Formats: sequence, structure tokens, C-alpha cells
Amino acid sequence: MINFKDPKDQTTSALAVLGMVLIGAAVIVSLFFNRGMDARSFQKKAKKDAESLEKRSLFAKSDNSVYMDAIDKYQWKESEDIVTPSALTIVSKKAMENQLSLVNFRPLKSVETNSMIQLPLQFTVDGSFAAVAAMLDSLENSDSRLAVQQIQFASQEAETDMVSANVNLLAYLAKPEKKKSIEPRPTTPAGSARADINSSSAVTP
Amino acid sequence: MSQKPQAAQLLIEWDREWVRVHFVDSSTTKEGVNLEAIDGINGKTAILLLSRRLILQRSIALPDAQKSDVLVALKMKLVDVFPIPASELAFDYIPTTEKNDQGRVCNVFAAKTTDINEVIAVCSKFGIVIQQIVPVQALTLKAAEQNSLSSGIFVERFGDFVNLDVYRYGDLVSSKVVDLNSLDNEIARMNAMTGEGSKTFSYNVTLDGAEQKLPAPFINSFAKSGLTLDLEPEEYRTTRDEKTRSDRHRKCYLLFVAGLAIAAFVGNDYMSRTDALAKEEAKYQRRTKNLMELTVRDESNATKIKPAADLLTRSFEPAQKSSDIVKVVSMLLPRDTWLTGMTFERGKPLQIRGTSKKTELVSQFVLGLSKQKRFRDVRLSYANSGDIGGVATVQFSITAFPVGNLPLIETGKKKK
Repeated sequence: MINFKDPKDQTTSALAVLGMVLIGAAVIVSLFFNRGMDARSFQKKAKKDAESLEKRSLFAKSDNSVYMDAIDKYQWKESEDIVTPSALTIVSKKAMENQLSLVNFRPLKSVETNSMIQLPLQFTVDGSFAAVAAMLDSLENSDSRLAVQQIQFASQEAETDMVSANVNLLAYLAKPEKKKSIEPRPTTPAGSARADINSSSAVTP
Repeated sequence: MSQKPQAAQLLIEWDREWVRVHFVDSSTTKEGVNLEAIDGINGKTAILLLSRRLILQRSIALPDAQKSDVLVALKMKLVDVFPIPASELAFDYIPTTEKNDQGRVCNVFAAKTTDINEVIAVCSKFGIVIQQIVPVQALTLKAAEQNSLSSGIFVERFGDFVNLDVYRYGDLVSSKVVDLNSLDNEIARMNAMTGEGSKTFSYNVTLDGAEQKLPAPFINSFAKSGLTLDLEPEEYRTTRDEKTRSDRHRKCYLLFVAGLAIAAFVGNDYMSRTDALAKEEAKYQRRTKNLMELTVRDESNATKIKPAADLLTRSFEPAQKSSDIVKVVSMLLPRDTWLTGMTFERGKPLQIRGTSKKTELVSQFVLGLSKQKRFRDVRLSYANSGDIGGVATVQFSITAFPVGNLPLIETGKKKK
């Protein structure tokens, strides 16, 4: 069928060879470049990736939920101005309940961390060792949102169990939302005077 | 991959008045007055053996050269050899081993093209494709060679006729077809031609009894003869070749078109699947992007609030609460021993100071603390002897680290 020696057969022979090459190429493409298989393996991979991402997302949501629970439970939403008197009320109440004498109560300088504000509170109570221990137990096992950071006991009299306890507490406050800075108004000779009168900075010393 | 001629299925010895057909596959021979009388010949390939009555034959010297050149020379000589113009003849030759001054002696055979065309037309009616046209007496030439016959007669029954080939001194001197009535006269005349010592071979003919009988007609020996001469007319050969070429070209075109169609189909399929895959990939990218955004947002939120949550958990759910530590220390305190001071701070060792009446009691207290799983690194800092109101006492200081007592700090603290 294929004969390149006779010029009359050369064109048709070339076409026949081309036909065979095309068939061969088609067979090779069908066997070794199977896009159907590629699609199936890709779908498998995509499904696996999606499952992995969904799993990650689920874990993250679960963690978020746990973290938010802890924050809601233990963090003060109120400002420092409210927390300090509230803490005094709690401490005073606990001292009274345990027949202790609250000698002093002092809020210390608050410390801002990356995510919260730590407000240290210091108080001193006098009373029996057992009463102080009971007060501490009461404080730690209540929903007072005050964490015991330090305790210092010192006995008052040699013959009794009277002690003076100096206790440091920590209250964790939520950071206030950052307010956007007020853009300065365009200044005009007439307008600037009016703005000075109305602005808060004008009345704030 | 050039195409080889298909082996002939039939051998047809053809005369206008009688036909003998040998079926090569079944090795059977049938005879009849014409081809219509013989079954099973339609659409087959055949080698045509022309009857002696249609063949002109001479022995002449031809140049000892290539066949194509010899045929050219022969064509020019034919005018002198046969009484019919060369343009009306189909001819070929068989060289012998004999040479003379003019060249090699050859047996030249010729047939009128009109006769050949007639036979071809008859065969075409039955769809028979003729591959080669051979003068039938060429078979006896080969038989004479194989039997080393110098002078003799070959007699063969052919229907109601008898084929006769006469050899003298190795040359075919006469070749004819006679009827049965004139056979005896012809044999006598031929014996006279061949002279003393000649042999007679016969098939299916009884002569004087001195002849040597042949088991089969000469047509059966064609395969062994190896004859290559061909009286096929040029135009018929060309037509046949063109038909073969046309068939070949058709197959080539078909193969090309099939290849093109298959390639187009596979290419189209490949492209469709590639498009589908691209769409799938795009869909996957979108879905993954959305999922990834959600996941990253959730993870980012978790990462952001985790330090605060950890610190709060550590502060409010410590491994050991301070009240528990105070209770345990007071419970482990031996009799005749009093605490004078105690300091507990998150992330730091517990400091216990006290007074006891006996050193052993201090030791007992330290050992008691050490045995507790709640404390590690229990150390006695000092134990000093003293006197309070005339009573001997021991003042001591112990440090111990409460297990799980972590500091309440968060990384990146900033002062307000």
C-alpha cells in the first residue's frame, strides 16, 4: 500500500503514513494524556483539601468558642472607674462574712497588655488565720472576677492565731475601643473662633 | 510494504472450442466447451494459457542482453518472423542455452492482440482477473528440458482434440491442435520429422503402445515450470495496474481520513476534558479561596484572643488555688509548731516561716511538705535555736515551689 519509489504513489503513501501517525498519536494521547483521569484525581485532591480546610476552620471555631467563654467569664467589661469600687465592695463583703477587719484597700497602677488591662488591687485584712484562709477560698471560688496574685501572712501576736494578711488581686479589664481621631476642621478666621467655643478641648483645662 | 501479486487461483487453458481449468487450491481439473460450462470460477485470479491454435512460435537468435532491450530488438525483427504486423501482436520469448553468431537462440511466442482481448473479455464476464498470459506449449518446453528430451512428441488429449508438440534436436519444431480423426496421420508425419530414436509422451491418448504415458495434463505442471513470459497486452496491464493503484490510493486516502477523524475526535475529547478540568480547577480555586478566607479569619481571631484567654484561664483556673495551698500547709503543720509568716506569689516559690518547740518537728514538717505531690523543691532555708520566755524554740524558714504555679504575665506587656 505504501510505496515511495513510484512518484505516482508518493503523495498517497505520505497521506497513509500521516494517517498512521495521527492514529498513533491519538492512541498515545488517549493512553498517556488522559484528562479524565486528571479530572478525577484533581476532584479527589480538591475534596481532600476542602475537607482539611473545613477541619481547620472547625478547630479554629471551637478554639474561638473556648477562648470567648473564658474571656466572657473572667474579664470585666466595665471601665476601671467602675471596677475599683466594685472590687472594694466584694472584698469588704467577703471580709465581713469571714469576720475579718479590712485595714486598707488600694488600687495600684493598671498595666496594659496586648489584649487587656490588668488592674492590680491590694488590701490588708486582720483576723484569724482560718478566717483569712476561708476568705481566700470564698474569693477564689466565687464569680468575683478577681484573681489572687499574692498573699503575705504575718502573725500579730505570739500566743494567738491572729494574723495580718496582705493580699494582691488582679482584675482583667477589656481594652476600650479605639476612637477615631477627630479631623481638624478647615480653618477660616470666622469659623475657627466658633469651633474653639464649641469644641471640647476649649472647655477642658 | 509494496503489494505482492496474489497467487493465481485458476490455470485456464483456453481455446475457442475447448477450455480446461485447473483449480490450484483443490488441485482439481475441469473441462468444457467454454467457461460457462465450468462452475466455481467467478471472481478469481487466473493465469491464462493460450491454445496452440492462437500462438505463433519461432526459434530465432536474439541479442544476449537485458530483457527490455531484447524486447525492443525483437519488436523490430517481428516483421521478418511473423506474417502479422508487430503492432497487432503481443509477444515474448524464452531464451535457450544455445548460442550462435547472431546471439542467443530464443523461442519467440506471439499472439494477436485481438485474440487476447477476446479472451480477456470472456474472462471479464466471469470477473476473472488475469495475472499472466502464457502460450501453452511453453509448458512442454520445460517438460522437454526436465526430461532431457532431444527429439520426440508430446501428445495430450484436449477435449475432442489432441495437442501435439514436436521436438527435434531440442528445438520445438511444431506445435498444433488436431482432431482425433487426423491424429494417426499427424503422428506418422511427426515421427518422420523427428526420425529414429524419438520418444513419445502422451496424456489420455492411446497410440501404438510404445509411448510413455503421462499421469496428468501439462497444465498441472505450471507451478513447477517457473515460466515468467507474459503475452499480456500493454493496455490491459496498464489498466490492471491502474486499478490496483487506484485501490491502493483509495486505501491510503481511507487511512488518512480515518487517522484525521480519530485524531480530531481524540483532540476534541482532549480539549473538552481540558476545558472541563480548567472549569473544575477554577471552581475549586473559588471554593478553596472562600474556605481559606473563613479559616484564616477564624484562626486569626483565635490567635488574637488566645493570649488573653490563656492568661485569664491561668489566673482563674490555676493548677492549685492559693486557698488550697494555705489549707495544705496549715494541715501539715505539726503540733507545738506555729507559722509566723507565709508568702505566696504566682510564679514564685512559697515561703513559710515559723517557730517550733523541737527541731524534730521542723524536720517532720519539711518531710511532710516534701512528700506532698503539690510541692517540689522543698528546702529548709534555716532553723535557728532561740529562747522565748525561758522555753527553747527553733525558728525556721522553708521554701517550696507549688506545682503548676505559673506567673500571670502576657508577652509584650506595655506600661500605660
